[in-house]
Amino acid sequence: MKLTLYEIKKVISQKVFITILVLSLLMNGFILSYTQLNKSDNYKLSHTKSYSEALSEYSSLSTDKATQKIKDKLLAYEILSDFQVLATTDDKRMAKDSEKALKEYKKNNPQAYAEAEKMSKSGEDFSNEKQMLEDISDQLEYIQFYPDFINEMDERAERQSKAKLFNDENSFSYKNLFKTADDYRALQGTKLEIGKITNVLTVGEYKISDYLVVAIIFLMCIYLFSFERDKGLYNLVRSTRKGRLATILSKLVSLGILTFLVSVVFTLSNFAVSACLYGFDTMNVNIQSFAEFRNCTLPFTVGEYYLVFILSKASSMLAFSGIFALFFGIFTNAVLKYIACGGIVGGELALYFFISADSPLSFLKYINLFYFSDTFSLLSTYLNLNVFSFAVNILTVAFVTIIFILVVSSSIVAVIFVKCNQQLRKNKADLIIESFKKKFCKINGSTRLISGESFKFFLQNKYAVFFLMLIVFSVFNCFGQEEYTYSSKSDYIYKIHMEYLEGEVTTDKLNYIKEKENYIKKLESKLNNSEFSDGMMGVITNTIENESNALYKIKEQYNRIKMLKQQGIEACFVDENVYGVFVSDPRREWMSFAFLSLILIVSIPSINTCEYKNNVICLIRSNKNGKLKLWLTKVMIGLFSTILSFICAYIPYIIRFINTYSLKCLSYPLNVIEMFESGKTISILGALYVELISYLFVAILVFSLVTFIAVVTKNNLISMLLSTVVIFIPTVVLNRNENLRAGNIFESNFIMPMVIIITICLILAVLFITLAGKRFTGTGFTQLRRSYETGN
Amino acid sequence: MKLEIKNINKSYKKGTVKALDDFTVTLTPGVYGLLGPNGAGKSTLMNIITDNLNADSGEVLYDGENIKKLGKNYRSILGYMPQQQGLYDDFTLNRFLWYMSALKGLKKKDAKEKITSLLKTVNLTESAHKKLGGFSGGMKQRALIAQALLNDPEILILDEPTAGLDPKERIRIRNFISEIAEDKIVLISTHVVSDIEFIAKEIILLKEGKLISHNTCNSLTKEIENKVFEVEIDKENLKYFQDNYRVSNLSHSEDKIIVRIVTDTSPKDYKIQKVKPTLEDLYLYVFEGGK
Repeated sequence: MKLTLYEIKKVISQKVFITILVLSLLMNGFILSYTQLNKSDNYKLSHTKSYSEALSEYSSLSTDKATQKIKDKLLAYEILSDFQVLATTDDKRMAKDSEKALKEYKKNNPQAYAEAEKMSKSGEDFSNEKQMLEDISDQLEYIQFYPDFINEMDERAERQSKAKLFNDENSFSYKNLFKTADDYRALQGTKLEIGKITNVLTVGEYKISDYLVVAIIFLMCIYLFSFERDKGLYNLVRSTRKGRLATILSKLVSLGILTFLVSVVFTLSNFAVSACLYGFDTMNVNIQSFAEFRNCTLPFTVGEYYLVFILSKASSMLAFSGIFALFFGIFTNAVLKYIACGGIVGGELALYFFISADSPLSFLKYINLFYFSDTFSLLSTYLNLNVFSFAVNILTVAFVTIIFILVVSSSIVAVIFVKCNQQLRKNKADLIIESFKKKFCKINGSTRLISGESFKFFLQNKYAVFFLMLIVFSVFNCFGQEEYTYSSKSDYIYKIHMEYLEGEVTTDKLNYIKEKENYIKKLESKLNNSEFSDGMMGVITNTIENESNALYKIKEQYNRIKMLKQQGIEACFVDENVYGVFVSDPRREWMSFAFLSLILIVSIPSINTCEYKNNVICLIRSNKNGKLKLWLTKVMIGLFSTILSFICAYIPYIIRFINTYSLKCLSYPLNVIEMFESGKTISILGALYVELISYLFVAILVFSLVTFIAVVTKNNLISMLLSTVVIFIPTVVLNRNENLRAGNIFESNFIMPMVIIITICLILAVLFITLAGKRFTGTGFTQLRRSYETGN
Repeated sequence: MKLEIKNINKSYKKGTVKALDDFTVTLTPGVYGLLGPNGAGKSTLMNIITDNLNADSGEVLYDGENIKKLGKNYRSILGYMPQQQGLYDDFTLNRFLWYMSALKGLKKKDAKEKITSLLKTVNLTESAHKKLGGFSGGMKQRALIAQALLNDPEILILDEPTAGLDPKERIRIRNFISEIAEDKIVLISTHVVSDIEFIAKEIILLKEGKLISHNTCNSLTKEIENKVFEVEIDKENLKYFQDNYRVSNLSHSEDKIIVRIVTDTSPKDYKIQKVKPTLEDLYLYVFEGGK
């Protein structure tokens, strides 16, 4: 027990491990909330309160009463859509059909008709409420039919067993039929109620945390199994009384405990984030009350499901830890360890994703670490596997497989550790390369400082891998579309008009505007029609309002185009929404900047702290070029990394935008867009350049500040933490701030203040770099403190 | 060529710890041995000489000019081998020496010649393309010596240069240092007194930041000429000698023990033999309290 505690202590006392764990948790929560917040038409998020209220309202009624009430409400929405068709269509036949339908509704369903009239007058968008009611209605319908589904199981099994294909009593198919019926029989009489399991579904579908936990398990294996071997400490450890079996068992137990804890923490944090967004689930209803769990044969309430989910997830992660421990035990060579672990993770992932459920190889999909870790599917799906013609439930298979992996891998690792020499052997590939170099490589190199410093940063500190991953991420990020989300109906109408109008002003386009003006006039004349009901009038009024808003925006833009033409500036129609957001979008601007800051915080400190880490600072500073020139070289590498990171953070969006909307309008003047009306005349592309340059200066300021912090602290980890506090957290807090961002230059004509801010950024950047340089090259005791502390 | 270290004072922790106390010494070409226990101020002195650390007061002059003013001109004639801590583990020796050449501002052609010849000198040509991370302690030590000599320095500062070397390598390096020291100022800080005993022109004894003595090895050992004895004792008396005398060596001879002691007052009633003092005896005499 004591040994196990020491092993756990060894891992959690590693600052790098704790930092990675905390950052991973933060990143995990951030990605989960970001993906949920960016889901379009997510009424569960935008109408959390009304959704909960609706659920409690309908759950207090009997199923039949609740169904009827929702049906009436949905009918009102149907009537409302007929109002809209009648009010806006030019198609006489369509109008006639709608009119007929409305008359029947008024006669047969006066209440729903009155409700629709009320809604049409309000002019609000009811699509979210409609979706909400439809979902509740679906759940009620499911609850009504679930008993039949369960009761039919026995009969279905009997019936199907008579078919030729299933009637062999020794076959898997026959056994599977009756096992399925047996399993579902236990659910007869299960009480079903309506409720909410948004958190269960959100966390169940979210996979990023699994990948992060797997990566953390790998890191823990490095600390538990590789560190002592790499440092040659195993000879010492293994020569003691408890240095063999007891040591390896304590390592394996520690890995298990830590894996379990990390997995539980990640899963709980996912539930917590989801609960913050969507509120709490209905915990006391049976899980079978939800269609997603129709096939689940486990008799749990939602609350119990939470517990089973957390434990199942942790168990699947234990299987990963068992496999990793096995490879860390078998291979002493680092490269082979990484290849083996990477291979098993990649292989399992590929089998999980690429094998279809009906493939003859489907057992490879199901008896798979990633399927086991997909706890939501595991618990919500009913699946029996063919194990020597016996029908065995997937849950049993998963449980047995995980136990098997843990027992076998632990035993092998223990035997290897006890019996085999744990000394680090030289990699054969390394030996071959070394002998090749000895034979063919000459004494050659470069006397340029930049070459040595680049090697140190990119290859020795492994930042080449970091930037390569960043570039790959950015390249992938360049693909896809950047569609503008239309929040209101008038925006949507505007978009449809702009699809035709965008570009140069032509007579045809002016005619099109006139046509639309006539259409509005026509709608206005319908308002004088006394035959129309109040509801119809409401719909027509709304349509006129939306159409007029869209057309007003277009006409205003045309006026600006005319004014610019008078000044001799060629201007064209552009979609104000799309290009407005392209130049000025608080959310995107802050997100990109936060991302860039994070890259710089992670990468830049290492340029300046590595000499303190390995304590060669005194050696290099006592050379001719070991002070100012070395410092300037480091600054150059930092600037190069900053520019590279900047490109990776900012360019993918621009490429995606151009992919979606083409380059056509980028040369048009920005002033045709209303929000930039008061700004200086500049093309959209020109504005983009100015914006990018502004952000580049701010990025350079961030680089210089991180560099300063790194030189002062002389420690990579502390620099990262301090920079996170000083730079990243304020960036996240200021997120969505309208004023403090480059896009605002063009909106508010803030050119002078912006120039001043950029100048201040530049001055501060130079100041931080100068101060950091002075500290790096200086000869005060504080400059050497760390080297003294570690060295002497 | 002259390196003058004048009235150097340096203290840490707001003056509570005095690392160097009015330290003055003048160095001319030749090997100097810097001896002192841990915390005597050797590393502080070396960091001040190598322009890594500021002194609180005093100055270091090279040929009459302050090294602070000389700046990189001073550093270009300086070779420094620090106490071995860590190196760039992913660098091959070849890359490390080229990187150091860049830091020393050497031209490519000169660097190539110098690296090739120094690799032979330190016997590491075969390991030139191996990573430093895989080097033994002795190999790292030799790599550090090679880098210190890359710019053919006029002032060579070596901190524990022979630590971790096997006897053969130690002698080789010691002889090499002696060979090149003819036209250089070489300052060697070490705990292995035998290393400097034979090659040092002068020995500098440093204690609690103060210069205790500065003289040739012979003159210094002469100071304790009548203070080193070998005494034949019984086993039961060993504790008494260890408690009351500076014991520099112990050896067994049949039933007796021969202890070598350094003392101002020789013990009576024992079989005593006066012996020739070594630098090690002097070290013990100076640094191990007043027994």
